[in-house]
Amino acid sequence: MEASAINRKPPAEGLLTEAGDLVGFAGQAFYYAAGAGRYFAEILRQCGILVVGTTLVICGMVTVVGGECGLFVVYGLRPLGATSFAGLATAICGVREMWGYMFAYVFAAKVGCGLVAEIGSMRISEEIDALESVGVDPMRYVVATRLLAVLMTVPFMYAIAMVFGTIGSYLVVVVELHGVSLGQWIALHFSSQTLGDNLLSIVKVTVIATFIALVGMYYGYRARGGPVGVGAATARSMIVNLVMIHVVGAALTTIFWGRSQVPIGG
Amino acid sequence: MSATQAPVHLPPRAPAPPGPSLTDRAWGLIEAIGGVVLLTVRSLRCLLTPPWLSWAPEAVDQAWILIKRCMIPTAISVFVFGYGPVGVEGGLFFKALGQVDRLGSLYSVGAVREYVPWVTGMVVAGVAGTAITADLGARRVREELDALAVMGVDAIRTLVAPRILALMLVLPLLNLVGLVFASLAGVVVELQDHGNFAGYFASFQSGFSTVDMFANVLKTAGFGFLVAIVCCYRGLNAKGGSEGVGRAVNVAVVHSFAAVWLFNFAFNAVYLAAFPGSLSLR
Repeated sequence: MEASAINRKPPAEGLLTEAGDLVGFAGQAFYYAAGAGRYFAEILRQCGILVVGTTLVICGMVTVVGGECGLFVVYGLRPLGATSFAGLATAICGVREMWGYMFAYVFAAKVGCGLVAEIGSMRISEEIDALESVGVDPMRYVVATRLLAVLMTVPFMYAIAMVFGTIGSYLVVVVELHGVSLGQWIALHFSSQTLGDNLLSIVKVTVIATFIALVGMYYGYRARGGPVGVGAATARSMIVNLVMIHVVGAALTTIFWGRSQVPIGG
Repeated sequence: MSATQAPVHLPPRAPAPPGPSLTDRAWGLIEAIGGVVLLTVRSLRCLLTPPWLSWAPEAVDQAWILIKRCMIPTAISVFVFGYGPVGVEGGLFFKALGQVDRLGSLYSVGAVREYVPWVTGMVVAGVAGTAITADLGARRVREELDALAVMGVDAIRTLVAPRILALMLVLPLLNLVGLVFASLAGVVVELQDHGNFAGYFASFQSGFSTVDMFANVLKTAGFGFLVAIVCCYRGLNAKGGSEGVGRAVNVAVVHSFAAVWLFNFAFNAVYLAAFPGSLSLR
């Protein structure tokens, strides 16, 4: 496999340069986002692309992971004779962790890689240079509008995905495995989560999705070396995204819920 | 540029070309499934017919490249996942029950059964799978694959079959390394919650079962197969144009994530139903 078209320096130096460049790019994207309101139609068009292209696959995958939570919880509690408490663990497993991770995985694969491929092909076919030459700032017209579209779309998309995750848990815990009656599962599942949990979960996912979009646009914007270079940049963005998802997710989990209590006992 | 610049009036956009219709997309999906099955059969035939071991040197090379690429991302991902979601959230239950020193059983069951396999699967699909698609896609758009065919070299025997073998071999190995890092994350959480090591390791050992370990290795080998076949198919069928390879990588990673998760769910449902005792927190 050939080396990435982006990184040809010695490993450590190249990595640090790339990280610094990425942070600078992210700062610039937020700076230009302030003036991107003039392209509101473009922002809405990007929102439309995100919603139409991504919502269905994310909802499907979050359903699967909701089922996975249910499976683990029911079989974990069955030897203890405590299957009736399945709702407690599906709430914590799903709302706080797994739905968000699944959303992030699919978002990185579908949207992150898609942004690299799209903006990278714009870069190598010199569309971005063309925008510059007619006096349109590509950081504002291409990057900032997509960043704002992600920020506007993700909270709502994730809220819908959470409904599908709940449905997945319900299908496995109640319908497939008959672990617990519907009423008991609903009572425990919804009494084990607060509005705060849900809002913090949405905040966490929005932060991760913003990271993913910025990483994707950075690798697209800096792509060179023809179609092959775009492919290599797409692959490289995925490495960064996967490590970032886990690190940021774990950090935010610790900050948000590190000192919380599970709703059992006194 | 200043933020107070006058609005720029862009020329009207050319109408977008009509996208593929729903029927076309459905046919495309059926075609992709058929193509993946055909590729599987062909690579199996290459592996099982003479000349024997023609794929071995390339497979070893690929395995080494995969290990170099994936080891560090896998270790970091598994460690932080074991610390945050599993340790901090799962530890809440143990803290509420005053049993922090039994945290080890959560790691021996949760890590082996659930999260280390799929975190490794995700990372390998994202890191190695994308690299395979980008590599094969580059060969497709540079017409290297056609050149191979002209020279009478079978691309499936020399390129696809070794990659499938390499991923099926490397993913379980990386997963075993990941298990070590998961246990380390457990040790960190144990320290942070003021538990003791003796209890952690005792409950870790008593919760650990051989059946789980075999299921774990089998499952990750399955992940490796799925990721390799999907990513090879997308790479071999990359289209030309400036967006071709990037779009192929994009589709490959989405499809391999979906394949890994659906396989994971089906495998766990069958395995847990077949060995229900293996999940007890002893």
